[in-house]
Amino acid sequence: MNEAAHITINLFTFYAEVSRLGQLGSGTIGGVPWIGRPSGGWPGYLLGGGAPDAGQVNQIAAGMAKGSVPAFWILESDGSGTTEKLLSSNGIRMINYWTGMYLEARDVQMNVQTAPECEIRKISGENELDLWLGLVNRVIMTSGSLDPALFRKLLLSENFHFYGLWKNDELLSATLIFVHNRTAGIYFVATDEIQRGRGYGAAILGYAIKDMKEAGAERLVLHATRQGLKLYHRAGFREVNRYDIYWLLGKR
Amino acid sequence: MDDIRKRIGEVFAETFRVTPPLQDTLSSGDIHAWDSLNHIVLINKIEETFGISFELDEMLTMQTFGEICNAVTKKTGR
Repeated sequence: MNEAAHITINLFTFYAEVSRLGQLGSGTIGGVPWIGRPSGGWPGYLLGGGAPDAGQVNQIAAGMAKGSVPAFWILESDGSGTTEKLLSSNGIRMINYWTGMYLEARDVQMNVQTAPECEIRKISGENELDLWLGLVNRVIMTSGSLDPALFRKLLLSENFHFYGLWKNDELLSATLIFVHNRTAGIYFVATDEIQRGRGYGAAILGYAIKDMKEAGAERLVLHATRQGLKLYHRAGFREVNRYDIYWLLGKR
Repeated sequence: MDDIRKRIGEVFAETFRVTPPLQDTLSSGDIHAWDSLNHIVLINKIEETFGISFELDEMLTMQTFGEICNAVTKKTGR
């Protein structure tokens, strides 16, 4: 399996597993699978399906407009721009993109950077989880918030690993790792806005990577926003592919 | 530029129920409803108003009322 396939499988399995554990919806439309909450709230995505044709897009746009399937679609980019034009003509607009990144566990440098007077550990219990959610919602979820009940279920799953970086009992940085078939996917890397530039993000990322390698992960993958690219490059990740995020404009 | 600012101010007013005149520094931190999705809706309305289109990276880079006005001015060549 190639690197892009490892990234895609971890990403799509992550959402499918979140949806399954949260007893949310799933199905297919026009041959494209979807998971989550069709009528708004995280997560709710159509997942891939390859370059769609006009008939598929018509059917999917109608489903999105009715609210029978989610209004967001994650598609691996083929770089041609054809899909973007087709979706755009149906009111489905590209609103962001993530860069797929990959790192072999054997290439991981094990000298984890330390942050002075800080402790990094796995999140334990609902009180710490609430703090973790508060930070992630504030930093990352700019148009909605994560469902605490759903994340309490994820916290109990052996495939989801929540990490926090603490200083004087205050949570300053957070991340979540999802493990599937010895691939560790890194999600929700968040550092308090006023605490940035002090190495906290690099520290928690390095700690989680080391922890996953020691637990037997063979590879690490992630999908980076533009803001995160520099941090992940410094940690040794390489850019492999790109995921375009589409939205039926205005549909919440 | 004044006409562009006025028309963009009208799109802001329609989208976020704010009252012009607007400061150049006005950002998502000042308007609760200006989240990442409403940002796309806002830019889409501005594109339709001026008959222009922005690349995704341009759209994601504009963060304030002033930056949007400057980007539209540049794009329309006025």
